[in-house]
Amino acid sequence: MHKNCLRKGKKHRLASIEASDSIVRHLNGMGFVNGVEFEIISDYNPYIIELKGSRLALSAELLQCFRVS
Amino acid sequence: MKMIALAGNPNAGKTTVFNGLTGTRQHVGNYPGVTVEIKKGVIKKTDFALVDLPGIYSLTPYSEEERVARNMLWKENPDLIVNVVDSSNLERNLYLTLQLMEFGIPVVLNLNMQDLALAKGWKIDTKKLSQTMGLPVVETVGHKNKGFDELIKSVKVALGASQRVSQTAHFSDSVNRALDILEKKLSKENASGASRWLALKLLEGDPDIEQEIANAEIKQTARELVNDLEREHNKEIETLLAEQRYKYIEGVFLQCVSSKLSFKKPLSSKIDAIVLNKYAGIPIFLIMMYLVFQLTFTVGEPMMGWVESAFAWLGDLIASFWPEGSESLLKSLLVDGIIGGVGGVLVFLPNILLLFLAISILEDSGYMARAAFIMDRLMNKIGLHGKSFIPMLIGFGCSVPAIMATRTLDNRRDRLVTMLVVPLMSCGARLPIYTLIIPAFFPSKWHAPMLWLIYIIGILLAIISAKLMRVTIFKGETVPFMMELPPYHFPSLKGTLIHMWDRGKLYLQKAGTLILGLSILLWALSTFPMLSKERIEEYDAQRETIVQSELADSLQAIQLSALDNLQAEESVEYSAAGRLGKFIEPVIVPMGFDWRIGTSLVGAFAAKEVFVSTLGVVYSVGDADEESESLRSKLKKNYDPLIAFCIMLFSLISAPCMATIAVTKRESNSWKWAMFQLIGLTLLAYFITVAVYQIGRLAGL
Ligand SMILES: Nc1nc2c(ncn2[C@@H]2O[C@H](COP(=O)(O)OP(=O)(O)O)[C@@H](O)[C@H]2O)c(=O)[nH]1
Repeated sequence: MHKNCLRKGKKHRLASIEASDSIVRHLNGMGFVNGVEFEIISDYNPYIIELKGSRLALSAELLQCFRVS
Repeated sequence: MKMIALAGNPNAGKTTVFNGLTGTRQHVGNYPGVTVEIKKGVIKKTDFALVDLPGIYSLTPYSEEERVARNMLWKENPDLIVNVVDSSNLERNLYLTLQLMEFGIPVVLNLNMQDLALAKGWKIDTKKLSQTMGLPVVETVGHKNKGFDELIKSVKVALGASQRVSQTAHFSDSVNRALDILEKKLSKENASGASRWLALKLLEGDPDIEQEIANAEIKQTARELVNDLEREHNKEIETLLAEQRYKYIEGVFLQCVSSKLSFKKPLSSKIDAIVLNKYAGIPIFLIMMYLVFQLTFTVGEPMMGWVESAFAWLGDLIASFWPEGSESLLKSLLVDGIIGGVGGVLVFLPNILLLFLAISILEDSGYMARAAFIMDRLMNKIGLHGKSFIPMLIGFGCSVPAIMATRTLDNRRDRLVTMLVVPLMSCGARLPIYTLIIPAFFPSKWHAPMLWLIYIIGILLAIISAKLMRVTIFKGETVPFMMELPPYHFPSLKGTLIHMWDRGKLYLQKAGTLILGLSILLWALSTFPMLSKERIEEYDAQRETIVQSELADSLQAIQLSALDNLQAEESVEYSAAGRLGKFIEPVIVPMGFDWRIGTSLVGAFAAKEVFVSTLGVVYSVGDADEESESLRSKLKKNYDPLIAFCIMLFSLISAPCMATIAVTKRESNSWKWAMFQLIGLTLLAYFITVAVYQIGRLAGL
């Protein structure tokens, strides 16, 4: 995900996560699955994401592994 | 006895449900992953054992906690799983539910936090949910104790009908076909009834399970099946499985949850908009920390006075059983050894409890997760995780609970580094050393800055050591920060007090066991061997001469007390502790220390707070505490500000107390790290103090 897309208030649909298997599995468990919609609530590292009504904090390096559509 | 496991995502309210079902007091916290140890209890009015697992997101472990939980389910095969779910977060929580169903042990679905779901405008049709997913569903509101009777009833019914069936119908036909093939092969070797689940984990590439399966042919088949599936669906297997699970959940959710759309922004979002604001976040965090320390020190001060007076009273009471001036060894052991030693430690109890109270409020309200979030930027720079901040904060109270709090860290490397540097956070027990020394050697306008300086040196050294360890012995990527920010709650008084007590208890246990034992040992070391009979008789003869003399009573008293002090000093020098001090003197001379400081440092190793009282003994000023003017003037006569600073520096950095070493051993599960901490910190203290002293002397200080 490019830096420009990481701005506050932006909504994205997750297309894929390009990280190690264990991180992908953990993110899946937290609700990040392909096709899911999420919103960036705070755009200062670590980022805050709203996903299906809950808030998750993720570091920029992780978000960079996200491909969105 | 039937065994029931309680499983759920972090913050779903498991600990609250555990307490509700068992009726016992347990630690309840609003900090992700508070339940780390496996807790056991018995469900009220039944003979079912209940096991509380750490919070997990998935059955393929990512953190140490998740591994503990998964292994418990896998290896101990409970009869039933109660899956605690945060209803206001149903979709995300059902992901674990599905995995538990795949595991095969019967599941009772507990929809907790019903109140929050309602507040969101959701209506969950539990009957339909139960039919669709094929499991019993029970609603509860944990913190209000609502719904637990129904939950227990449902558990009883489910246990009666329990049978292990791994459920995988939510996966596509091609996945199920692959599972059929693997299951068939696995069931020939594995009789546990978990073959289908093991097959699924093999497909997912779970490294622990791959290791467990010895048969290379099965693993080869799994690899081929994975290749086929990935080719067919054009995506990686874990993504494929996760997508199919969520797709099923989405369907269930649409069928069973009707929502009146509420456009009200939840309160938590509004609070976060301020608390986590780019500019306001750090100032708010600093104000919070200031309030925490203000509460600890200002409110704590009068309370410390009360504890002190209570022990002084107790000491006097016990001493009064003997005639005045009695030389009874038992009296000395009870009054000086035990009451003096343990009392000296318990004086800090109010401070420490207040610090823990403040931390509990922050944790239970949900702010602590935000603090970890805010600190992550800084902690990341030193190679640590935002979550490491919480143990470090607790470390200002006492290292023992601080080291236990490292359990919430996901990764062993982060956990060990945090554990090893926690003792550099100047704990409450070191405060009396500073409060004795600073006023003796530094002008009053320097007092506060000097104290700050010491604390800051500790923090800086922790940062540097952590960074050094992260680039040497604990090399490796930092685990990327991912953490759920739980909604804010108004902390309940009961929950907060239980939480505070759970940590404070550890300090009290240390005082009651280790410090008690060490006080006795230290007393013995500084009492034996005793001066020879002849020497004592000589002193007695001198006393007799003074009493017989023509001097005024007041003068006689002064001379007698000086003689007492002289005898005490000689006794200490002659005792094992004194000899030990003398023995190490050549080593500590480069730091500017003499045998007296050496002896006190030996005491400080047992517990930092013992330093002051031992110094009092070797300087024979009778009962010494950190306010003792006579001790201060003796110190002033013998040392200069540079040495004084070096004493504080060494006490700050050097070997943590024995209780800390013991808890590091337990938590790291190895003597290696405990010894590394002990030796590493002592050497660090030695080199830094020698450098400061020698450079200071060269600079003419
Ligand atoms: N509103 C609401 N809060 C709850 C409920 N159950 C538990 N809590 C609160 O949620 C927080 C986290 O609960 P805890 O039991 O520590 O969760 P765990 O991490 O799953 O063990 C605590 O502050 C509880 O008081 C509930 O049903 N409704």
